[in-house]
Amino acid sequence: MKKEDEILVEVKGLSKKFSRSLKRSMLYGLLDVGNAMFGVNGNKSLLRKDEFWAVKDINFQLRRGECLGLIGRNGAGKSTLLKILNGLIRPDEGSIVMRGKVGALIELGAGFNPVLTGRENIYVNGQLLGFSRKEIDKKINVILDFAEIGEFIDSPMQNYSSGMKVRLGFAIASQMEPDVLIIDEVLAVGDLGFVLKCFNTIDNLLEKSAVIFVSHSMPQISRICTNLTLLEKGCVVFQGDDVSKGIDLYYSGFGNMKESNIIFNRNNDAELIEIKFKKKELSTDDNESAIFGIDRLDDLIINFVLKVKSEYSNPAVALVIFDKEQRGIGTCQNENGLDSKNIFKVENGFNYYNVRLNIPRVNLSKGIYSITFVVSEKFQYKPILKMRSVCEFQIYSKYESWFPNEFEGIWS
Amino acid sequence: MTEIGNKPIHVGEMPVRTYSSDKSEYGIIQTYKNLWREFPAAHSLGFSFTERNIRARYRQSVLGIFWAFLPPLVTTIIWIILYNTKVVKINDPGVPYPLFVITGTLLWSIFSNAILMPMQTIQSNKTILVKLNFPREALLVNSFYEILFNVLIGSIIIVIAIIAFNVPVTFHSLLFFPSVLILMILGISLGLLLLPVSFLYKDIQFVMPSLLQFAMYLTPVVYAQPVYKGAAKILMLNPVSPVLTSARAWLLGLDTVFPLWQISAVAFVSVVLLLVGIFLQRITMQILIERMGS
Repeated sequence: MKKEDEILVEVKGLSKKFSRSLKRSMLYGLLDVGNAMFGVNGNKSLLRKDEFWAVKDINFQLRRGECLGLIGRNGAGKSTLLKILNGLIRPDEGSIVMRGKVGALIELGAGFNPVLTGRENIYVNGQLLGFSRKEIDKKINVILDFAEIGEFIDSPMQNYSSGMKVRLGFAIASQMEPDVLIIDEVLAVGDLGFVLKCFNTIDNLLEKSAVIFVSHSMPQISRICTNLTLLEKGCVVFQGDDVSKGIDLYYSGFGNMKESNIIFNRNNDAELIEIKFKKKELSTDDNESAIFGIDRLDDLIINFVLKVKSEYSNPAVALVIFDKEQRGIGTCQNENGLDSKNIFKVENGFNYYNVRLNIPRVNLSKGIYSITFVVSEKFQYKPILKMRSVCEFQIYSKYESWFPNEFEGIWS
Repeated sequence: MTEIGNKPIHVGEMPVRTYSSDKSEYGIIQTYKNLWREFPAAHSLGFSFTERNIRARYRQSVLGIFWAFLPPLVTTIIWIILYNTKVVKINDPGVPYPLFVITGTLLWSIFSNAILMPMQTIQSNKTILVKLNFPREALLVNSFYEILFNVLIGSIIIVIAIIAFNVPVTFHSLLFFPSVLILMILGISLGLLLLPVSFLYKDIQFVMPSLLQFAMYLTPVVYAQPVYKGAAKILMLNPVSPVLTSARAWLLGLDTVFPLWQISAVAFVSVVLLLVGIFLQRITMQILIERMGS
């Protein structure tokens, strides 16, 4: 058997039920304890009163070198599934087979005691992660180098900054050499240098192990994962190696963020009356998806109608593009302000503008983006109106990219 | 890494773990095999826990260790006063009464400590229990060593008292230590057996301190073993009495009331209960963790 072909994780028909009511949960717990004691299996596939399936019928296989992304909204069952995979709780139905050493990056710095020094804490935490004392003795210098906390290592942990605790925690965890690695959103803490270091470590682990990765950050998911499982209310909604399709599905589950938010509007001096995208003439799906979409490198054409008090001549407009994680991706602004030839009506002291904006060859990567609309007196000067998420659009692309921009290159 | 009901099969060098809903994996023999295999790791982790806890506890207090022995010392003082002022009439125990009471209350505190310890360690390690998969027996080992540490300190107090009252120590006195061990195991296993229920229902945790207080007075701690008559004969079944009185009798060179077989029986039952307790813990821990939240 080739090393890459090894199936390290095999999950079959996995289900788990929980009780909503505390009193019943306690009672069921007692009954379960009783059943377990006397080896009675009970009818586990039926829901008792007040119970629900936290995780229902999960199936997947994972080989070495593969990374399964687990996404879904809060309460979709991701953490429950992780707990079952980590062997913390038992499934009510189905089975899991795990081959090799299992490591979990779930809680960094577990068991750290604030009164003890960093060095003393390394031993307890390391053993919690499955190292022996001897192994820690051997690895302690590597850990100290990785953590980069200097002479603080011999002072009590209550003097550490939260970043330092995480560094030490990750430094210890990074010494694991697991075959199966479970990661639950522990990354992206600490300063930039450290985050990069973490990613390097995880990249190294990715090659050598089968990874199960839970995250709400789609850029991270698309960067790391080879397979994706989208959970909704405990059930699998999407599963497969088409990661980008799964992410799209996850995004579309949030619906559209239509309700536009006026962040401010000075004296009601301006109003955005209408904004819409111009669809392609031969658009195949004319009404289905709520979100307007274009292919990557298509032109994005936006029409909007805006009224602004006539006292402002040539107000400047800027469209700022944010991604789903509310990262600012880019902006499109007119330096000279709106041209007066766009005025189609003057009424009650307001100029009415009808504007067509063409952003050619949009090189954004796959995903959903929203537009924040800003009107100001002059270019980047004295804003009049600012509205968040006035509209959103989707970019279709064959590729999944962690980066928001994919530049066209001319390679020679 | 410990698992309830997982079957470790070795394919090449890769350990294989399976988790499933099938209860038949709970096999008794398999469970103890797993326990045996995982015990070294659990032991070393539990020892580290103890080291950490003791260091942390006493690094932050000036009088440190002393505080652990305040409660039994207070009880001792109360009883010395009650005895000396003749408020209560207690038959002459054969050695100076203060020494008798100190030994008794310290022995009792070892037992009550042991009963409460499994629950306490689970409670204080909740956060890591719900997040990490480490050998659960480590907590048990931790309980054991923490009690052992208390025993050590207690022994120092007793030694000081023995020297102060100038009581001769014989070869027999060494039997004190195995009996303390029995007392510890009995306490821990009872605590362990109570764990699933006391974890789910706080009622047990509320009632335990009072119950232990009550049980102390039913046990010959501050008084010598009486001869029970009538309905009180049921108190003969108190498993703590033979161990506690004999431990004290051996240490202070008193006459032992209980035959050796009775103590051996308690020892045997304690060990059996401990094994049952560990088994119970292994098969129920996941059910409890489900209810710990995260």
